[in-house]
Amino acid sequence: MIRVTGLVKEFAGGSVRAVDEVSFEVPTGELVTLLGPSGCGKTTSLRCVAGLEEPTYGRIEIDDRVVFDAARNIAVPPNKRRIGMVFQSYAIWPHMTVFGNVAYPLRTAKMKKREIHERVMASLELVGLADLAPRGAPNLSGGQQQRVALARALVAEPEVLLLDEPLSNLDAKLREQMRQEIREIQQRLGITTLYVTHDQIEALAISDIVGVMSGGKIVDFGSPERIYRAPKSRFVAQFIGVANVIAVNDVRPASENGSLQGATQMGSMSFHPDEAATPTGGQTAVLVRLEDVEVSRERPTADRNVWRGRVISVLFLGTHLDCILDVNGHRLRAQAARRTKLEVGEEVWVQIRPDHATALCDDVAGDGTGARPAKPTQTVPSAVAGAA
Amino acid sequence: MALSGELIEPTASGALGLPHSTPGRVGRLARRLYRAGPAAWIFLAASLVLAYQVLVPLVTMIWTSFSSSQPGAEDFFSASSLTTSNYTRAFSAGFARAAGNTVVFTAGVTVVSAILGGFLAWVVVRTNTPLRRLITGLCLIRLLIPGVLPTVAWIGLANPSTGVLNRWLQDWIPWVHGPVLNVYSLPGMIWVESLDALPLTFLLLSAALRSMDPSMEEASLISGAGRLRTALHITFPVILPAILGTLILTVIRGFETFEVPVLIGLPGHIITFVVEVYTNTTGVPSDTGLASVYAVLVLAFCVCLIWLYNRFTRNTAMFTTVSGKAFRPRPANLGRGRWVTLAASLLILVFSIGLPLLMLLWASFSPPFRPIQPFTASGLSHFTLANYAGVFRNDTTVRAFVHSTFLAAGAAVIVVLLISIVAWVTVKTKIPGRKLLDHLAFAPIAIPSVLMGVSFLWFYLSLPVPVYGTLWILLLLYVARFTPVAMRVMSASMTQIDDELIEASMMTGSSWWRAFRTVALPLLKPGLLASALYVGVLAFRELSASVFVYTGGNEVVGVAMFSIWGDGSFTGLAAFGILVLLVVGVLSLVAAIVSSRFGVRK
Ligand SMILES: Nc1ncnc2c1ncn2[C@@H]1O[C@H](COP(=O)(O)OP(=O)(O)OP(=O)(O)O)[C@@H](O)[C@H]1O
Ligand SMILES: [Mg+2]
Repeated sequence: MIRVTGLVKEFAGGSVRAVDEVSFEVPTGELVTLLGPSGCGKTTSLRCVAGLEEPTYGRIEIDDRVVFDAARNIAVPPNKRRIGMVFQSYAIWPHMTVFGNVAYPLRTAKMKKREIHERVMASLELVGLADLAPRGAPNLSGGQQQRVALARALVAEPEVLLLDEPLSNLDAKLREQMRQEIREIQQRLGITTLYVTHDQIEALAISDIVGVMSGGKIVDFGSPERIYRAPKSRFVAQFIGVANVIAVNDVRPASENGSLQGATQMGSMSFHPDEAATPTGGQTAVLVRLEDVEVSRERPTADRNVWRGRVISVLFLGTHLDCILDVNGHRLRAQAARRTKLEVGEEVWVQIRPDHATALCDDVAGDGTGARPAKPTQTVPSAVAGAA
Repeated sequence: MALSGELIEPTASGALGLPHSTPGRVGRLARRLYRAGPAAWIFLAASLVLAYQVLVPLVTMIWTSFSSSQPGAEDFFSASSLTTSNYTRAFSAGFARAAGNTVVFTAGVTVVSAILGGFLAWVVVRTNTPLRRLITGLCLIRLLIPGVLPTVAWIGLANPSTGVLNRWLQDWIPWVHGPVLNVYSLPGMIWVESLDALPLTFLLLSAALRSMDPSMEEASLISGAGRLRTALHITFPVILPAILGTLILTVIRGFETFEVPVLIGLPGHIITFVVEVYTNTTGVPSDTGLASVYAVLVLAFCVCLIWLYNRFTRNTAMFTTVSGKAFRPRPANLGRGRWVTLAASLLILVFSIGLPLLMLLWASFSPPFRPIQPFTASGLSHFTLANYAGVFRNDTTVRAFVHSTFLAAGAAVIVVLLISIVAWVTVKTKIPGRKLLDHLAFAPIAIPSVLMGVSFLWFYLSLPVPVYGTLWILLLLYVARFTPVAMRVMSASMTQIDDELIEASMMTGSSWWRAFRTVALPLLKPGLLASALYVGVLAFRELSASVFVYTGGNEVVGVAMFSIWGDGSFTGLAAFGILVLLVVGVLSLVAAIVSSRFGVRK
């Protein structure tokens, strides 16, 4: 378990706040990802947990041991924290063999030769590099270096594992493969893991919990499924995947099962409140993922959230068609199945199921940061929110 | 750096190969050269000039070492004068002593300067010691000070009879009677030369430290190792190749250095190879045979070391691992210890630059031709401007200023012209044999300046052209000496030029020359300017080569300093030295401003 409370890290004498009041917990045996754009403070948070950076304020516990507490002046140095870490540059020592690299933590712990050999080989076996043990470290490929770094991080059986963008130096194919391997090994060993990345797909695929960071703060924290389906803010919604953000006025409770209803440019629309809170006031914004906009030529049977629309543009993307529809003057982006063979100018039916439309209650204004509390302002002019 | 004949051969054939000569490789090469147009002619001319700069010293030195005659004598060129007797003479008389002194001196300088420079590099790059910029700045300034000045300053500080430090020690420590420090000893020489080599080792080692990915050390900390274990098992081995490279360069420096062995070693009867070359050349009667044998030995040693150095630095490529992002330096927090490191660094700098400069300033205001008083208030009361007045009244020093200014400007312009052609041809054209030009331009770096000086002396003494005894020999010498240095500065900015820029210009139908003038030259300007200024500064204060070829009436600044010292006027030299430092300082300031304005980073 890693528990971080009220973590603040300032640089340059307080002029740069890289991490700003961050609190989160990594439950034992789970993998938590810190996800966010470049410069948002992910690496700094991770390095604070590792002890490579001294936080300005806050407390860090690893497995119920307080390793840092600014208030009580506790700061356990990194070499006493019993953690494993994989660096973005891998930091494979070039003057040692693969075996020497992996054996280093055990040799430091003054372990017996035989035991070192056994554990190093077991660790290399785990990452599938057992036959490269005698190889000199500089002659490894990127993927192999990455595996050596992982084996070295795991060999001393640390309590927690920290990974800083471990896949960003690999090519796309290898990245996918290593992603799966890391997840598999993490689950097999049941090791508590904190993972940093700026790649949203990677974060969704690998994590038990995703924490989205922006400007030094954690702006959303939850399961990948929840984060994707019902992000806390427009910023999170747009950072993770592509979505329509639709402005809604006149919000009032709908007749059944706690859903809400409101007026949009497309017409009347039913949607779900956010898990945490119901929007107050008359206005909100609603998030609809592209794949949740259903496009068909026959009229759907449902009676709510069904509109008539016209196809404005169609982009063939292999797996699906990416199209933009005009629904009563509102531009809606959708993913249609390839077999629908939509044509530009065609009139179609559009359906959005109410449980696929979620209110973004903290970001009515839609200033894109998601960091500020909601303030009621005018409706958002364009409802099509493309990904960056 | 290969200096063998095989390197020279292709130029020769290229130069002689006429467009329609015999078929085969030479013919094809020549035809391609011919088709390359004016570029080829410039290429040929540059090759000849550069080849001459390498070949003259080499051939002259080796020939002289096998000649029983003297350069300039009638029978110098006749094969009948060839003999190995110079070698047998050299190896019998005093060889072992000179070799021993040279080895001890060089090894001592290497070790001491590596320890001091390594310490400063570590402090500046890897710790949070205060005033790190000041430390770097002072080391850079130290690099500009001509070697004669700190050397004589240390003689003033630590000579056994009147040395200021010696008198301090006697006055302040009750149980010290008589001189403790003696600069005229091997340890004294090692100390003074180490402080001179310090900025170089500092710069090289801090570059090495900076190039290391700090997460290598962090990975070790995470693995449970402490700071000491990390330093011993990770940091040190990872930068070892760079350290070895630096050590080799320091060894070469120690081996070829002129000022300390001649100014301190010679009067202290500590004879090294360089002293042998110097005394046998300039002594009356001179013994060019012996001098040239020692010169050949020094040269052979330096060439071997440079070869070794190139092997090392080539292999270090293997020691770098890929990394996605630029490293952010993460200095260690030393806590209170940072005041200790600061104090130690400042102490080193006091010895390296503070005390010598103070000594010079003090001496420059002291009454001439009297023993220098220690730094006390009573000494202050005797202050005089007589030494400065003396500098301006002395014909030699004024002449030397004029000559050096002319030579510095001339050498800078010629060298820059030469290397811009070389750089252009090697990087941006497809002329066959262009890599050779690059090697030729770099090759003289393996020839120590002392040897460059003696070989130019012998070469022009034995030629019927009236160059010896004029300023022109100095100009030729400086151009040869500083071409490789300027190549270093230049090559970085050269590679930045995109091929396509030039090709785009050529595509619009402009000629090769036009493309060079309108596209390449403006782009090269910052690099050229930086090289020119750098060459200018170095040439202005050159001593160790000039001292061999100058003649009465043709003195330059370095030589003037040397001869004032020879006249026994420490105070006069101090005043002249301070003035020279001011000029060099202003020149360097201009260089720094110009190159920062044009975005050149050194
Ligand atoms: N040593 C430092 N001194 C000053 N500012 C720093 C330092 N380290 C980090 N920062 C600043 O803190 C902020 C967060 O940096 P951090 O490295 O944590 O970002 P990141 O989220 O890991 O970004 P990336 O995805 O690019 O790696 C950045 O604005 C960075 O410039
Ligand atoms: Mg980062």
